[in-house]
Amino acid sequence: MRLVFIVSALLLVLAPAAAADVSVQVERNRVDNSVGAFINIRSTVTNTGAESTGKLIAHLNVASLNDVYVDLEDWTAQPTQSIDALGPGESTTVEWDVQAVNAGIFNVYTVVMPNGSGGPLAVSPPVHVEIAGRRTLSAGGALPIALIVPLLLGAAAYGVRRRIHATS
Amino acid sequence: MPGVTLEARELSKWFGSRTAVESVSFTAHEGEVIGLLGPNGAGKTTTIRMLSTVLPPTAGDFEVAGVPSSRPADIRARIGVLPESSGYPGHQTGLEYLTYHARLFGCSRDDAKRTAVRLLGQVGLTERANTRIATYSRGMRQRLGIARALVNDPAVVFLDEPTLGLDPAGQKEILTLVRTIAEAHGTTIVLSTHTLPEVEQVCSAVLILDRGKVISAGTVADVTSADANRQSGRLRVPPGEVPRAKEVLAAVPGVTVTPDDRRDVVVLTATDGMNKALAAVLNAGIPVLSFEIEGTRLSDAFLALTRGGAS
Amino acid sequence: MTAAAPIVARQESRDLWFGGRGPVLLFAYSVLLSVVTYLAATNQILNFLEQRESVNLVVQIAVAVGVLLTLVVAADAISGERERGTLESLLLTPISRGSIVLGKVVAAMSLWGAAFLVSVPYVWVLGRGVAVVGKALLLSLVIGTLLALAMAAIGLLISALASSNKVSLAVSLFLMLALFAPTQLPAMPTSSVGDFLVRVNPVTAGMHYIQLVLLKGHTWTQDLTYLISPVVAVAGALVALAVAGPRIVRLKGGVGSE
Ligand SMILES: Nc1ncnc2c1ncn2[C@@H]1O[C@H](COP(=O)(O)OP(=O)(O)OP(=O)(O)O)[C@@H](O)[C@H]1O
Ligand SMILES: [Mg+2]
Repeated sequence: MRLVFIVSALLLVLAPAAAADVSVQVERNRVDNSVGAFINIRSTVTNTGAESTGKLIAHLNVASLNDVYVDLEDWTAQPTQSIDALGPGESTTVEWDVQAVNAGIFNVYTVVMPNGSGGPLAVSPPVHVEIAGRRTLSAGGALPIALIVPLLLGAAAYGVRRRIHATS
Repeated sequence: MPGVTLEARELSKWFGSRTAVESVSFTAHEGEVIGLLGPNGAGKTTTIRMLSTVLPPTAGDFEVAGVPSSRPADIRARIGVLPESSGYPGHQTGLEYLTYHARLFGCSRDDAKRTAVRLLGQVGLTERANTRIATYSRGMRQRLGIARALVNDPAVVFLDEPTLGLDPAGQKEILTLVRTIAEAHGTTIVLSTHTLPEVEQVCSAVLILDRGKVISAGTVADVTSADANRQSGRLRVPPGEVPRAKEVLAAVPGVTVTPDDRRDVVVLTATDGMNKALAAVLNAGIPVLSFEIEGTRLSDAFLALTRGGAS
Repeated sequence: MTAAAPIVARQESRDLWFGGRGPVLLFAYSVLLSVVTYLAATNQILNFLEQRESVNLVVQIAVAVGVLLTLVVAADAISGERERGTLESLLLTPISRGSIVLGKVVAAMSLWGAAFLVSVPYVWVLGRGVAVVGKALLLSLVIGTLLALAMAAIGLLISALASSNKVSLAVSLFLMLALFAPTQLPAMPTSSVGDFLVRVNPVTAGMHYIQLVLLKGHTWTQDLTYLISPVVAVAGALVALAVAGPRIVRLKGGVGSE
């Protein structure tokens, strides 16, 4: 019992104080778009401490603010990315292309943690995301263009051929 | 002596290990029409392509209209060429085609059009100026090609088989055109052909090539007399007179009668001229319907020379 | 040195457009875009495709096929004239070989220009309302022009070197397929090797850039490095053409002949 306590205390002390000295920033704090659109989230991870961090893990999360069901797997296939160790003062960028699969209001944020056990987390400010419902396209919109353009070009091609034959 | 417009020095061309042209040298002067003769594969087209700078020679150099072969673009500006079996853009009209080429030779748009109209008239295509080349007959295309070769008022013109595939009237038209050009502008014309009578008609000099080499050069008379001591003749007499004519001819010294049983023609060879043979026949009172000496024709010299080269 | 290029370009373009070949190719192109647009629009209504996705689809196809047509015209430019017997009379004019090549590149590019114009209404009809049309057209113009220019120059090189017109067209089409095939693989740049392959191939790199900006909402400058290989391809092909052109634009094609 005692031993376990000592070991875990030692671990806490010896573990690099990685994430404690890491800050995470996001590029923008508000996105408005419609269902189906992709949103590019870029986070900058900076080592603000005096020592090198170990390997880090960056995780993206989506929280619904109006009780809409969120399945993270639908939004991005790779919510978790690993980051190489950062020296003091170094920073790196992590990005995700998330597809907004539901309409609603969300907060999207990034968490950075050490690639191992223990250690505190660094969290980015949230990106406020508002996703509007899908605009419905009028069904007939594309058909006239799809018919008129080839008709015009076909007539032009025919006209050129006719002109060639007329000069023979 | 008019100025030299074309000079080739030791021109050679190899395609891999095959020799197409070997050490060809010759000169041509202003207003001269030179016939370039030779059997198939003799190197006529290759020679013309080298002189017109579309094919670099393997060895040797040349000068056209005073411009050395080291300045090909300047040479091209001063020559006109009808290439062998040239193609034409079928969808263009003759007028468009000539105008475009005149433009490529540096004419302004208006000048180019004027030149095109004038040349179409000169080659007799005015009526077809605005129809597509695809509808032209072979002879019309050939004439269009000659007109194209003249868009820049060239100092030297190369015509590679200009009468190929034309009917006798068409051939004659083209030859007349060639002579007019040479006489009117003092243009030097190099004419490659297989049709020997046409060379006799228009050429002031001939150059016979065989397997890439020049085997004879000079005026038509020079070339034919090289073979003139072995003359043969064909004497046509009324059918009943043949046996008597043979008898009379056999008695003339130096004359041999070829034995055959033709009803109205006697074929003979003479080693020192035909005059005595003809005199003997006339003296015997035999009516002569026609008498043809074969050794003096260019085609005979050509055949004798190129056959000799082959053996 | 290339002073006569505009004259050649003008005549070559006239031949392309009034000779009947250009209009027919363009007609076929519009039929293809019509079918794709119609299918995309129906899928959009059925919720299978998001609006940006359908715009992206049409832009990618418009660029790919437009570039292909340009390549086909370029691949015919010299070997075709050789076979029709019209090259010799062009070589017999005093203009430089550079002018001939440049004029032919411009004529081939006129086909890409026309193809781009034809694609405008299709992109517009699919992209209406989501402020994506201008972006899509600009992307298609920039990337398409880069790729078309590179392909036109490469096509001319192939055409000048090929021993026959058939060989020239076959080699060009093979090259086109080889370059475009990877764009059909799903989610290519997930691994670093995959990403490298996408970046090295100018076609996949250009197409990927279009997708990132148009579909994934990236900014214009965020992924500019994807445009390195298209730009290098254009520069490389044009330099190769300028350097080798005067030697390889000649009467007979094929390696080793003169
Ligand atoms: N591009 C080439 N590659 C290889 N050999 C060639 C080439 N062009 C010509 N030759 C060869 O060079 C020789 C001369 O050909 P050329 O075409 O000059 O002859 P020609 O006198 O014009 O014949 P013709 O009267 O048949 O037109 C021939 O043996 C031919 O096979
Ligand atoms: Mg020949």
